[in-house]
Amino acid sequence: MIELRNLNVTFGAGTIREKVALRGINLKIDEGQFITVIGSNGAGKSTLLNAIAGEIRSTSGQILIDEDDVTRKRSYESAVHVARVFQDPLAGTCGDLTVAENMAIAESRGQMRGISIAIPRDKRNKFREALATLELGLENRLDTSMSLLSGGQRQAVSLLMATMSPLKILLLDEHTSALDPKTAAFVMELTQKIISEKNLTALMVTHSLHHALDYGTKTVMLHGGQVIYQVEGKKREKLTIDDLMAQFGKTVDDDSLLLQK
Amino acid sequence: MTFSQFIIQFNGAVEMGLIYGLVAVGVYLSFRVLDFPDLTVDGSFPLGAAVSASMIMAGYDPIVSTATAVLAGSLAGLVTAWMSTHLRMLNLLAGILTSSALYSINIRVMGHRPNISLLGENTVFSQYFGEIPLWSALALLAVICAAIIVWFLNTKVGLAVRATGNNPKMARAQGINYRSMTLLGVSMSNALVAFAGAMFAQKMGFADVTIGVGTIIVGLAALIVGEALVSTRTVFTCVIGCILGAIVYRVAIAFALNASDIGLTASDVNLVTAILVVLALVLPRLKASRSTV
Repeated sequence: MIELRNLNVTFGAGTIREKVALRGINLKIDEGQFITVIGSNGAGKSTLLNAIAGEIRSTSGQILIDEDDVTRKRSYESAVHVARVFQDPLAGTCGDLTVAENMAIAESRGQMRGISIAIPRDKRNKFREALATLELGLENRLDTSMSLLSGGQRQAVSLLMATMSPLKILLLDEHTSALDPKTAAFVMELTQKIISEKNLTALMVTHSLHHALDYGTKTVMLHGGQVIYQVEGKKREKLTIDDLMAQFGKTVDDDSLLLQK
Repeated sequence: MTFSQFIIQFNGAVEMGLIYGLVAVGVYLSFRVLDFPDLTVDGSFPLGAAVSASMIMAGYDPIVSTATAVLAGSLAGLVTAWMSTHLRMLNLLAGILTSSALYSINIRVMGHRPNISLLGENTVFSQYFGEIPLWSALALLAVICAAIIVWFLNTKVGLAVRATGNNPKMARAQGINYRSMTLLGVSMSNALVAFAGAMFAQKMGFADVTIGVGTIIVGLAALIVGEALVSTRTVFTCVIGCILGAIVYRVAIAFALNASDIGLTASDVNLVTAILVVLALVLPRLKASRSTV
């Protein structure tokens, strides 16, 4: 279980550009829960994910992953628990390395990396099988440079890589928003498939209210660095996008988000 | 030029090419693999020469002396990388500072002298390679170094170093400590360069504090020539390219400077090299921009 206790993040504290990104966030994420996070630009969605990943140090509060206090850990230390897929399809993989090399790196996420050969023969078969599940024909392109793959293919591989070694939580930061609608739908379906097959705990930031309701088990709405609305279970099943928009309308003056679907 | 003169010239150029091939592999590690433009090289090359020559003069076994030189080089690399990762200094500046400091250190290492002669002393070559021609001894050492680097870059930790240079954000997300990987990579790079310096001193029979001037440019030139000659697809081809590039570069320079009718002299080598590097960097871009317009 992941628990955020009174988490605060302030950028540039004490300066003229001080910006409070998260204000006293309290959130419990049960094992196997798939939470979708929505909110307008600047609501603190990405900051929340970055704080959990250790990319941003919180100003106060605590982050616990299975009773393990990771609040002060750096991102590469947190990586043993946390797997991430970024918004930019190029960010999650190394363009200059081959598909197999990228997968070998992901396979050792959070572990000591020794001087054993990274890709022995039996690994290649394992990688090939894993890639075959994507149904993109990548199983025959193990030695292709990652930079030659399309954005959608790279994002699909990133997703696969994120789940190759044990994880406590999967963080998805608008990971389909830079893809064309067809590819976005494909990556979203793939996300759902991987999460349910492996019974993963996940936190997904999305700008699409459709995705926020259609996927996952709980939806959290952020505004001004605070959780302003959360819904799960039966109530969530009955919830329509219009209801969600109405929720937004209550608290959000800025209508830019209402126009996004 | 007679045929025998030609052979001697060619041989000498190949030997120098093999030595600078190691420098090029070191430069490949920092500039290409880690994306860390490391200028320590100008100091770690003479450091390797100074340490190995002083120790041989003090009566140590040439192998022990060379190994110590390699260690000294890796420490120099560590200092540069540490200034960059922990003191948050610009990597270019960190390298310049270290190589500048090494100028003083090298003079100290050589007993407050600017140079040491190894005339009549035992070297790795005289003691362990005896009858074997110098070029093949150097080729063997170059192949061993290249094999170690290729192997290393294909290990788990080697992949972590490559990821750090290629995509730091991804590396962090995969639990890779970019600081330790940078320290490791830059120190390995300078260990190789110091080894090349030690080989240089033992081949030429002297160490001099000024031999480091322009080492980085020669290494870069060899790297770029190699990239033009051999595909950059895999680590293996890149490393082979570095060594081949250094040989081709050295041979080309040797003959360009000896063609007296063009009016070039030996002291023009740095100018010619700098122009070559600029051309090699600019020409592909010019070609690319022409095809896109």
